[in-house]
Amino acid sequence: MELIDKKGLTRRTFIKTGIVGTATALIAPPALADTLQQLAEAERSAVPKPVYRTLGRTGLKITVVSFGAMLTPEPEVIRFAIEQGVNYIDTARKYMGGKNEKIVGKAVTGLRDKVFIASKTLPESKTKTEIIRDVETSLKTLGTDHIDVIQLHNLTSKERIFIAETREALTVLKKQGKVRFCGVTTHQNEVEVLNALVDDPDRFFDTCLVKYNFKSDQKVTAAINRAASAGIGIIAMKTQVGGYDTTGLGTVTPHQAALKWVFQNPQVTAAIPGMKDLKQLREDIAVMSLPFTYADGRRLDRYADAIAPFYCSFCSACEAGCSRGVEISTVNRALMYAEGGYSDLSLARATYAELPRQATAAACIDCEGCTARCRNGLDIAAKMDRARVVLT
Amino acid sequence: MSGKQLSANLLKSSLPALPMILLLLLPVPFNALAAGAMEELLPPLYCGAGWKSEGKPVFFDQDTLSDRIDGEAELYFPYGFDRMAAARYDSGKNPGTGLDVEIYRMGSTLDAFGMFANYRQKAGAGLTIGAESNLSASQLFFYQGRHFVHIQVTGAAAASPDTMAECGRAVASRLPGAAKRPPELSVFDRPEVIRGTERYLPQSLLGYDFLNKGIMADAVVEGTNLQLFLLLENTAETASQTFNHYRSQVAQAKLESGGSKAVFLEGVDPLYGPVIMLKKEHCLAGAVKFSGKKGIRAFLESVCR
Repeated sequence: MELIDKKGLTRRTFIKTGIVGTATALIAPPALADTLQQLAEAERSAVPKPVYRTLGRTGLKITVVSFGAMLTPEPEVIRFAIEQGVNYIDTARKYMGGKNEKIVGKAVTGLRDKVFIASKTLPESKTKTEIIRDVETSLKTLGTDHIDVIQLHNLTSKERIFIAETREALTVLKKQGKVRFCGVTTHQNEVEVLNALVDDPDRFFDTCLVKYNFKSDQKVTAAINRAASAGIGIIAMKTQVGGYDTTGLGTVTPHQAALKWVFQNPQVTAAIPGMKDLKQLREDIAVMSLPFTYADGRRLDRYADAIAPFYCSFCSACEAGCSRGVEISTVNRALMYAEGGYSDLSLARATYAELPRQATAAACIDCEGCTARCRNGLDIAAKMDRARVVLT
Repeated sequence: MSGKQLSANLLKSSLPALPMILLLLLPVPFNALAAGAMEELLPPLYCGAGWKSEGKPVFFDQDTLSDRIDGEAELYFPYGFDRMAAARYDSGKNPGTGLDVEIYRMGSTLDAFGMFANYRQKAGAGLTIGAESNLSASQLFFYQGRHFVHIQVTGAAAASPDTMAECGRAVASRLPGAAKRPPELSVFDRPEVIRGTERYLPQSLLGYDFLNKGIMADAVVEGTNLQLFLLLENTAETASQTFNHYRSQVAQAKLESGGSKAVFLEGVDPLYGPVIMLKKEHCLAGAVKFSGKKGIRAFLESVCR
């Protein structure tokens, strides 16, 4: 067989390639320039040294960028992260019907002593039998004898924090050495959940995995700070707001800036961005030791501007300020169906038509001034004007 | 057949159960029905003998799916997720035990298969439901046409496998689409490939952001276990670009001619170790996770033939 080529590039060759990359792109055929450029990119994305913070009263020292495994199909990607020093992996019994724990289990084979594993019981599990069943199944699926942090999944209010049977089960599991610490996760009604953890006289739960990003309300930040001060380990999730797909936002790539924004708050121990491939992994862990800069602030401003027309969280909080009783969140939802990437005008109009006329944007026509205020800064009056044009 | 004709026929054939159907349809949000073809997602009134729908079915779209399944929704979007219908069933005989049925409409049959493969449990059993199904202690997954279905037992008590299977068949009988595997998998219908290990990934194959739309499977070639991957490239030009990009990530990369318009790449993948890849016109196939190279090139050539 004919030998066409052999590439045994050293680090120095890589660097040279990087230096000549731009110039080559100007003079070389596109395919060659493309290849050389890619080599240069590979070098530039070298992994930095990991940075650790302490996870509240658990005392666990975990990497500020930890690994949300929920969307990762290949264990090799998780394993690569662990080899780079990432030492906290978050999964759940529910993800992929339990298969995600299997993937994490494969990833940590032979590396279990280098990594902390966090998992979650099923969201509907509350009784002693259910909690113990979930944890036993997780242990088996993960192929480990203990879970470092077991979390109650998806709390939307404080009630589940205080279920006696749940606590009894977790206490048994801790005594058996099957779980080390207990936590909760929340991405709705976060303030109530965080405050309940602090106000719990038994201080039963040690950690909280909480939705937190640059669009979060100040009340969430305050609750996080209060919880962290009380020794609750805070881990942030949903740090990217709009996720990774910013195709429609042109050149705005705010992921790193969004992560850095979260790490500005020293009360946050870590974030667990979901990472499917090496590019996302490198992009995320590269920020570990980087400060939040003015440029990052500008980048997030631009991102916020780009998503502002669409970023109604449908919380309905603004409706309390509307004297006409307009169902603003539903109107915004209908508008989003028409313009927010769905481009489904029939669905938008059908949604709008469901509203009683007095609750539609038509009620705004003779209103002297809009008194409804959006906590995310959405221009409600403008949205209602737009709704009348588009939806009727 | 239009959606209206379909629903009319459904109603005609279900006249005896009409009052129940109307009762079930009443709570369906108007906007959901207006979106078109929502009827095909309606879960059955009974999911197996004695298992009756409890309350109203609930519908989710791209914007609301995370309300139901949290961030796991992001797993569905690359597979062209469109809508989902969910219903809970209660037998009345086992208080506290229920069946949760979720019917997802994905972008294509290949996408529905991809979701199925994401959830398929290795220890699960295959049943004759939909194109393929997977039954474990508390869950049943299957796909049919562009629909992916997840049935979950809830509560502390177990439900028998027969119960889940019966419920699965009731759901499948109402779903449109053929109970056939996607045609893209036909290239994997060969003796070396271990049936039931195929996976479809619309993005980030092998953990690389630039490897999109590909199928992977375990195989045994001349006694050696390996992982086969095939990228679904449309043209020779895009295949070349992808090939060159991948090559740039591989250490000790070595290219050798594989005959007319074919080239083999051998090297060390940063995540998987040794790799052999064949590019032949628009076909890109490769193997990783092998301990010996014997027969692999011939195998890849047969895949690309």
